[in-house]
Amino acid sequence: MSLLQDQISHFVAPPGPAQNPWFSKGVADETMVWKRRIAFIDLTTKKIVAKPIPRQVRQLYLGGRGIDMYLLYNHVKPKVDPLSSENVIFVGTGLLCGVPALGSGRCDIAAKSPLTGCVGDSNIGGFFGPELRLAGFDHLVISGRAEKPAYLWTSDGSIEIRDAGHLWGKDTFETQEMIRDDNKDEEVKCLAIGVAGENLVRFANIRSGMKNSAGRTGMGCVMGSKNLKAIAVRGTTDIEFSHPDDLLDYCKKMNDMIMNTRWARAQSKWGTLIIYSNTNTTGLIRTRNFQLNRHEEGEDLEPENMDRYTIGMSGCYGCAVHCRHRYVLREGPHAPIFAEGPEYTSLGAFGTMVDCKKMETVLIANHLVNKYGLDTLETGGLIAWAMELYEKGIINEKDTTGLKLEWGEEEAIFELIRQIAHRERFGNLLADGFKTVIAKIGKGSDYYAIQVKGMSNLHSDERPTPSFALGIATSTRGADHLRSRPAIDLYGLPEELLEEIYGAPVSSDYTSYEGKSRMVWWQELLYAVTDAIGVCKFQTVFCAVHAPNWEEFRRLIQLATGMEFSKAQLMEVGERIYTIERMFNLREGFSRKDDALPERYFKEPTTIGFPVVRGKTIDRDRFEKMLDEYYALHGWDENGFPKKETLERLGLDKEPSHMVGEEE
Amino acid sequence: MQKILFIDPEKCSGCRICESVCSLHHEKICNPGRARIHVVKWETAGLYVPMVCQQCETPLCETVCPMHAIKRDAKTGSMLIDYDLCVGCKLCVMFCPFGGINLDARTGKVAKCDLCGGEPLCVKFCDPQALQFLNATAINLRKRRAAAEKFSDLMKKLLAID
Amino acid sequence: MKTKLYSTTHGEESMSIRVRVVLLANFREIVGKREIVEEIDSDSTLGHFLEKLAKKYGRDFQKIVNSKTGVISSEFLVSINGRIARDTSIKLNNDDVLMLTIPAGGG
Repeated sequence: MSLLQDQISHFVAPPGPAQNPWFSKGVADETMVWKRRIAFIDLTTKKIVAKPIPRQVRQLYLGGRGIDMYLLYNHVKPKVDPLSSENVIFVGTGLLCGVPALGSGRCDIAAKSPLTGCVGDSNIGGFFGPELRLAGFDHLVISGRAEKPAYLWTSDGSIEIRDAGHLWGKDTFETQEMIRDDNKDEEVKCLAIGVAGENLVRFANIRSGMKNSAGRTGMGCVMGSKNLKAIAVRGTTDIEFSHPDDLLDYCKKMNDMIMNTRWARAQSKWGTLIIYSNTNTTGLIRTRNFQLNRHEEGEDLEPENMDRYTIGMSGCYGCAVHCRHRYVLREGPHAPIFAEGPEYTSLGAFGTMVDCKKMETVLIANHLVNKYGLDTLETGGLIAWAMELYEKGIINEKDTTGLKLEWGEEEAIFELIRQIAHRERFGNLLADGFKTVIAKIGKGSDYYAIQVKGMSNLHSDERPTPSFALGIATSTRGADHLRSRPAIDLYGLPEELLEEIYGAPVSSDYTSYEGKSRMVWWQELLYAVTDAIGVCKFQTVFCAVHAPNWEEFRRLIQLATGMEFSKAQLMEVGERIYTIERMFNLREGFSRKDDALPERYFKEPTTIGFPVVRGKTIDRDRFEKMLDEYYALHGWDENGFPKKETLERLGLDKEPSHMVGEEE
Repeated sequence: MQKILFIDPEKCSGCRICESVCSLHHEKICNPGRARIHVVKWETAGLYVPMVCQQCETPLCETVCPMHAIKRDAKTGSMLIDYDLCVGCKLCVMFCPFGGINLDARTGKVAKCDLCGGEPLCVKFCDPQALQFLNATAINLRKRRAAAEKFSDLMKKLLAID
Repeated sequence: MKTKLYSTTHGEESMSIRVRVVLLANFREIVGKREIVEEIDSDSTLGHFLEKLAKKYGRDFQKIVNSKTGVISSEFLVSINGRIARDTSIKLNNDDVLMLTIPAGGG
């Protein structure tokens, strides 16, 4: 028997209900989650090995991003070139994948980022994660490089490397359709790259379905560098939970709790666009790259203007909120378009940051980036920066190879998106991301770039909000609003409530610095665990103060897997995940000086918006003080290096520990 | 009059919570493939249609079953499989025009929607109300009102009423 | 700042002020407008003003203030010139801009 067949026979149970543990009714013992495998796939040697995931690793890291980050630290050697065959891609479903609540089907994809050189990590919703778990795998570790374009075909207990020559060059929609046709199964779910990933655009993303994306940090570029066009999966095995009946009741309670709130109702109707109403009205939105903090002519971008395009709302696996529009564009030179989205992020990328005023522009651009497989945020952020350089004469029409990059020029934007995806002309320059382009252009272009560690920031203007500003500076994957964004800071919640949640005083004023380092630290731990269990942040304290967090997570973990965690233990898991990410970055040469904000945050005050947000900069001294407090909360020294006692407490002093690998 | 599991595909968000809760309730595991309801999707057209046993008035499954193992439940009106009689011949699977009966590849048995004894779980969990459990009168009224609302919007525009 | 002078029944002088309200989410749906401008007594509090809106528009406007506690309900978000308001006894000033919305966050 080949090694692979040996693995399969251990894994796929023989038919027959009597002996078959797959369908025993009643309570399964806590070992059932241990049945899920981790597969090591070497694209160079074509060797595939499937292993159980050690119980200890689950208890320390749970799953999803947790285990992915552990694997990243252990399997990717320091200082490798992210585009070389030595980089490794990790795909991981959350610990709670399959649970009918909280949008539990989220999947984490990690590698060393070709955009930043630090932790590369992106989370994707939709339906790929559950299908992977149904096929019996929770984690994939993909190393090496395929000689020719290939895709992985995963089905119950088995993985094959298949030829993808006929898929190469196809967009992300066509790729998925063709894989379904090839396998004559409409239920196949795929992770696919578009031409952007094939062309090694450093911020190429990985796509699934019509719109779900692992957007940030260039994970699609890493797949492209391995000649890996797609990962396809079809699973039909059972997912067992420890206490199925109690779990069902609890899920109902969770879903009802969430759907009875105003914010969930609003999101289920208007999608994430509803956030724009509040933030733009107040004056917390980057406009013209960073010149203004409110889009004064952005009325058409407000959520009710989607009504004339939307045909319904879609949801991810296990999610009652269904916050994603399905829309149709019937008229105009780019019609017809059927697509999903756009998200709040795209409203910024192709609306406010580039000074476009029409919803339609966002709808067309959103579709293009999804088709080509480009991160919507990075693309918009780079184009906005290029437009400001063009305005200021730092680059001209010769540099842009003929493109008139004037504010709001939608056709120039669409053309530039196409050029970036295909690495043509000016797009070829932008395709390498901020670090490389800044070095090539020079001429002080650095000053205008709104990026941290080489990755673009969201279209939020954090000058009035110190907690948000600290969050993007310290995020382990570069400027990012999903590592810690304490959105509830904007709600002016009573200070007694904030103290109860965060464990110490936090000011209820969003323009204050008091207690905000604690807020950011706490949220980092929560979101690390959120991504490790694989539920959607929109159904946590990301959105609302009484939304699911530690207690609800504990209960779900107990009902689904039988594993018991106290709140303190779960927070410790969050610390462990975040600290091992920090260790990876430190090992790559990052340090305190990289936990910084663009100079404009300190130098240019906000000019418009509501009175309370006008005239704001980030105070440099107070920022540094917040950073000191933040490091102390994490148990790191003043340079952001984990202290010895922290490493020992979290069990990280033994890293890399290689608790799970092909060899054991 | 007994209630009917009524499907409104326009409202379906494609979240598949119905499939997970169905399999979790009946089989104590989560496996959409072994649920008695399935959301059929045309992803690139944005069309999602939950498909489940229609509990026909003149069920073909009952007619075709050689063991008379499929019978009407007096309380809920659903067609139930008597597993003491079922031999797994799968004629019911072949003849149902809706694909309403599942063949479970692992057990070799067939399974179908039994309306959860009168309180269908999929309906309870369906927030967009693409699945509803209503009597016939209510269904008629709702469909007519929904259609009339579309007319009413149009009329308001024509008559320029706010 | 005074914008209008008129006599009350007691023969005293009273002033009115002008307040702008940006309506978002469900409030925008109810009123059908993005913004409204209201004239109110110069000694009005936020509470008085919200009562006036509740009488005028009904529905969700009647739920903004939690009737038990007298503070702004956690279901809604009210800001004055960008500062979040909870306490309904805050005095309003001429040209104040209010935002009425729901707490929607995230990114």
